[in-house]
Amino acid sequence: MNRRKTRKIEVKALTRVEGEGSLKVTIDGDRIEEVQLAIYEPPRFFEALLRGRPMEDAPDVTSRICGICPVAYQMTSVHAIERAIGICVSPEVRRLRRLMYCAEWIESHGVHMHLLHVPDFFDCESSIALAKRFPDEVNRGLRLKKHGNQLLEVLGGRAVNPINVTVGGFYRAPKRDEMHALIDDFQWGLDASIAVTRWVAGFDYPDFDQDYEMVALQHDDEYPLNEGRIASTRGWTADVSEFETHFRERQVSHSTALQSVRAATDSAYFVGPLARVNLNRERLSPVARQLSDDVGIRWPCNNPYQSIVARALEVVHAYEESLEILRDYQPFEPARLDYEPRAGESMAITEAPRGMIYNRYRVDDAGKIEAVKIVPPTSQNQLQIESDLRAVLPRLLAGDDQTTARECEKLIRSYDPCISCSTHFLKLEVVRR
Amino acid sequence: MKPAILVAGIGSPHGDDRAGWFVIDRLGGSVTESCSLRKIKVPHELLDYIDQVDVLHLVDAYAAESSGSRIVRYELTGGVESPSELRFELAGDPSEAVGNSTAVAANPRSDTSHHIDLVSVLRLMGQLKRLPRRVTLWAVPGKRFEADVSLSAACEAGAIRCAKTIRQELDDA
Repeated sequence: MNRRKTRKIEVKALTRVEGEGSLKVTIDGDRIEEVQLAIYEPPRFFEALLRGRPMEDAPDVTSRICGICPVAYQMTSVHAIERAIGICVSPEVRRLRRLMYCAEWIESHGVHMHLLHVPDFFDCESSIALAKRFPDEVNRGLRLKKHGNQLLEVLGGRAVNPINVTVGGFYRAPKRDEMHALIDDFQWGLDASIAVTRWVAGFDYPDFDQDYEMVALQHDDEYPLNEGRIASTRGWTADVSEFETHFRERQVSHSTALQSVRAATDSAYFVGPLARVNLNRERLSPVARQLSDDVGIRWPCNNPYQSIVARALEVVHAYEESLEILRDYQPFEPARLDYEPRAGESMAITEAPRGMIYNRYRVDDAGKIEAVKIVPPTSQNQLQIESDLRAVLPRLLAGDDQTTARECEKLIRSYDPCISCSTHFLKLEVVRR
Repeated sequence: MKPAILVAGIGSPHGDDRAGWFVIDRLGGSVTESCSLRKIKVPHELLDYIDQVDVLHLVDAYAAESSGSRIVRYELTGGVESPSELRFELAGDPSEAVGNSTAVAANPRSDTSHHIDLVSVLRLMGQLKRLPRRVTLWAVPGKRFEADVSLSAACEAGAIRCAKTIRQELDDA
C-alpha cells in the first residue's frame, strides 16, 4: 500500500516576475494531476471605474493598470474609442504613436531581459549575481532601458504615467530638437541591441518544443504594433472586431484573473514576442530581419524559453524604426484631431510587450463611456503557461521541491507575465499522493 | 563642492501610495541647484537617474497599522565589500520602527507590481559600483492604497512634514 505523502513548499515569491502569483501542483505517483497558476489580476473594477466617465479619461485611467506597460493600455483605449466615434488620426499621429510603442518595448523588454530573465540562463539567483558575472552586459542593458524611458518622457510628457496621449492624437507634438537630441543615443542603442541579440541567442536553451497555437496581430505593410488583423499560426486570420468570436474569457476557481481561451475548443493559445516574430518575421526592420536569420534559431520557433531571442529582435526593430522616425521628424499641427462625440461601439487590439491587449468600448452621444472590456495579454497566456508546466514537470520530479519550484519559475518567466497589484506571496504547493 | 543630491519619490496614483510623489511636488522649486527631484513608479527607474548622484533620498509610503504612525527614517548600511549585504537600518528611536522591525525587509512597499524590490535595486547599484555614498529612506504612513482614491488627509499631513524635514536637511547639507 502506498503511503500518502503530501509536501508543501512555500516559495516567497514568483521571483523576478513583474508582480506576484501562486502555483499549485498535485502529483499522484508519476502522474501530474493538476497544475493551477493563480494570477491576481488588476481588478476588473478598472472597467467599472471607466463607466460613466468622459472618454477622454480612458488613457489616463487605463495607464494606471500597469506600471510597466502604460502605453499599451493607453493606445488600445484610444484606438478603440476613435473607431467607435468614427475618427481617423493623421499619418503624423500614427507615426508618433508607433514611436511611443517602440519606446515602451525598448524599456519593457530591456527590463525583462536583463533584470528578470537572463539570470535564469546562468543559474543566478538575481540580477545582482548576474551583474557580478557580467557587469558590462548588465550596464549595457540598463542603458537600453534608460533610452526607452527618455523617449517616453519626450513623447508622453513624463515617463511616470505618460499624459500626452489622448483621443484624436496628442495634447502636444514634441519639438524637433527634443527628438533629434535622442539620435546619438539611439544609434548606440541599435548597435548595443544587436550585440544583446547575438548574446542571448547563444545561451543554452532547454529542449522544449511544443505544439502551440500562436496568435498575434499581422499587418500587410509593417511589423504590428498598433494595428492589424488577428492572425494564428493555425492559418486563420480575423478582423479585430471578431476577437470575441474566436476567444472567450472564463472564470477559474483558483485565480482572480479570467482565463482567455479559444472559443470553439476551450483550448490555450500563446501571445507575445515569440508569436509576433513567428507570424511577422518578414516585416521586421531590415537589420532585425537579417539578424533573425543569422542567430541560428530555427523559425518558426516553438520553444518558449527562446522568447528572449524574440524580445531581443524586437528591441533591434524598435531602435531601427525609432531612428527612422526621429531622423525624419517634423513637428506638426494640429497634434490632436477635432471631433464631435457620438454614440458608438468598437474594438481595438495593440501589441503590448507581453502580447495582444484587446479593448472594446461603447460610448454614448455625450462622449461618456457606457461599457468597457479589457483583456490583457497575461490572462490570454495563463492557460498556456499551465499547460507548459504540466508538460515540463515530469522531467523535474526527480529533483527536490525547491529545484522544482525554481525550474517552474524559469518557465513562467519566459512568458514575461504581467502579474500585478498584489501583496500576496507565491506559494508553490506540491501535493504528492 | 556640494554633493549631487537626488530626491526620488516612489509612488503610484493609488491612494496614499501618492505620498512619495506628493513630497516631490512639495519640494519642487525650493531645492538647490545641486539637488534634483524625481517621481518614479518602480524602484528600477532609479537606475536611469543615479549616475553622478552622491546622496540619495527616497520617499515612499508604508501601510501604517495605527493612526499615530510616524514618518520613519532608514539609512542604507553595510555592503561596501559585499553589495548583497546592503540593507536599510532604522535611524532613530526603535519604537518608531515600521511593523516593530528595525530593518526594512527586501520589499518595503505595500503595494507591489512590476518591479525588482527597492533593496535589490540598491544592491544591484552596489554591485555595479553606481551606488550613491549615502542613501536615506523616508517612510510616510498611509492607510488606503486602492485604485482611484485620493491621498488621505492624514497621509498628506505626514508627507508635508516629511518634505519639511527633507528640505531642512538639504539646507543643512
